[in-house]
Amino acid sequence: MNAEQPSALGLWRMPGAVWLALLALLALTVGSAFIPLGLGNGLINASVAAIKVALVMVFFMKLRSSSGLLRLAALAGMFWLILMFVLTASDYLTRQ
Amino acid sequence: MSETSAALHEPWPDVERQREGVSFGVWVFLASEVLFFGGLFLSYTVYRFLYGDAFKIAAHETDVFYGTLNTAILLTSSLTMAMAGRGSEAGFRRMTLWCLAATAAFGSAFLVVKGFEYHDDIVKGLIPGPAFPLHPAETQIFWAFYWIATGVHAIHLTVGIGAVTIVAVLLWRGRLPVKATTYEGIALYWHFVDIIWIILLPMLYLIGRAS
Repeated sequence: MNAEQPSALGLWRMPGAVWLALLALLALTVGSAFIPLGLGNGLINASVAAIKVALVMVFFMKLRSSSGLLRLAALAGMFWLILMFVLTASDYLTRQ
Repeated sequence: MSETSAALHEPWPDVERQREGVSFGVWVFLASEVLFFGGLFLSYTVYRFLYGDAFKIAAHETDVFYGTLNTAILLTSSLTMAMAGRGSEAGFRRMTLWCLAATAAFGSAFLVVKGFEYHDDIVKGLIPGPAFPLHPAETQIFWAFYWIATGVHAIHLTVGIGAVTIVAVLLWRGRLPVKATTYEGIALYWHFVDIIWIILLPMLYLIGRAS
């Protein structure tokens, strides 16, 4: 039983590393926003936001160690969101 | 062992199944929240596509310092919330309690910073209407989105702070066992509210900064 008991400090290691990565990504996205990169600015902002969201979902929301049921429930919301964006974009992006 | 059995409720055969049930319920709820915020984000996307230049002019007036500071605060609150969950699973009562308290404190700090920001926005007259200071008129669409999105986010955060505070007090008074699965559900909700802000940051504060 004692061997399985984690130390309080050891518990912080993984979430602490994720937190540092999130703050580094925040610095990257805010810093790069002031450098004129044309389309690159939007690309960096969107990519960094996507990576941050993924980090929070996988590690903080525990999808890494979740069952298939929970992963499916999480993906179901995303699925309908993607459908909504794709169908709307197929209208607005193709108007003349 | 007694801590674990105290956390177990009907109809679950064991705490692990119960934890899964709580998480599943919250994930389904969050899927509906995704579509709620999704509609908002979709309308932003369409209007930004139609009025890109006006959105850049409008976004230039948001305060990137407050926005960045608040992102850092909220990311840190997600760390303490995640640690409260891990502390609870490991049965560390004091750690869970302190992490819950820190989470509520960081959430409140976010709202205080937001209050200062709202004050500055109002002083600058950035409320859509006849006396709106920016041109062209489409800049008002951006600012209408700003108020609605940040307002709805702040309401979600306030609900989160309330929920975290309630379970912290229940744990402190010994009414909720340290291994209760309640923390798990609240943590998922908290992280979701954090995610919404992560997406709002570039939409509201980072576009058009370089030009």
